[in-house]
Amino acid sequence: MKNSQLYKGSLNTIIMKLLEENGRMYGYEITQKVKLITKGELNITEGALYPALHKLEADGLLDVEVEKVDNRLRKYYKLTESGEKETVNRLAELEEFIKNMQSLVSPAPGLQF
Amino acid sequence: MKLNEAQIQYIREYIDAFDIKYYELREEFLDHIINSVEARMATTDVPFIRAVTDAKDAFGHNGFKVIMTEREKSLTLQYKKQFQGILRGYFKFPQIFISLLFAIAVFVVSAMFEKPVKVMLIIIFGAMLLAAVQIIESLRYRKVNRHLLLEMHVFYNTFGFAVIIPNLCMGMTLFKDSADFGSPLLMTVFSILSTVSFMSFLSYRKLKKEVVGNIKKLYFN
Repeated sequence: MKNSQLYKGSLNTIIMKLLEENGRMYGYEITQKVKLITKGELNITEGALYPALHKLEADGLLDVEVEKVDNRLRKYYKLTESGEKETVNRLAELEEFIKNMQSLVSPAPGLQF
Repeated sequence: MKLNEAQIQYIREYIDAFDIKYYELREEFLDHIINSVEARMATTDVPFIRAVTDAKDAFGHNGFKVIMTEREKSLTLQYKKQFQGILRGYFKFPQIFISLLFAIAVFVVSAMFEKPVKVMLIIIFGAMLLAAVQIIESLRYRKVNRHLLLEMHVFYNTFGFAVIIPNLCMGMTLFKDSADFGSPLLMTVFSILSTVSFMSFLSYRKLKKEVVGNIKKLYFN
């Protein structure tokens, strides 16, 4: 993951936001979607993605569906009802964080360090 | 590009070499690697074997094992939380009335006998026996295609002995101390313990039903 330390804390929120928009997705699809949206700038590694998905599932924020595709099983993840509520909260937190970071990085005139 | 059956079989065997003991994770990794290899071969000139290795390397050093351990941990925590939640429910309004009635019934019925301990022993060992039956009953959901099902395996490890052993120990204590079992205070304590023991069994049974139901829905349809 590019600048992994900066993105690490937001991985769960990124996953939840994608699922909120796309309904249900499987692991590989999530990595590709993120790559596409960020034009290749952000690359979620498999080693980070799956533990995050499994943790969200264990916390009751994600539900799973299994489907047979091309004679193999595919595991789809989707938000549960509490997952949907949590996504709204986490996105609000993330927006607030970005706003604060923006204020710190580019302070308003007269407020420079 | 789509992989052919021989290539998919190669990937299956390649993944199996990493000793992924759980069916769910094996299938999830397999699907991911197939997708990744198909995309790599469609967009670059990389040969098949190299594409497989690259796709696997993307999981990181010891990646499969790390994910497997993380999943075991998060699932164990999830089941413990669920179990405690169900059990706590029996001691909250309105279910607490059922628990209280059960405790009173144990006390009253026990007091009718010359050796009250026997009634409590029957309840405790009965709960233990029922839990053992539940375990045996769900054994058929332990494996799919010769691979362990992670959910069931973690469930057994978390509760298989957790329910039986404390009950057994309590039963042994009751049996050992049966000669001194006359005081109302001791009988009250053991009535409460018998109730907790029985409610633990009910919680275990409810959770097992949920876990098996989920497994059936996902993998036995």
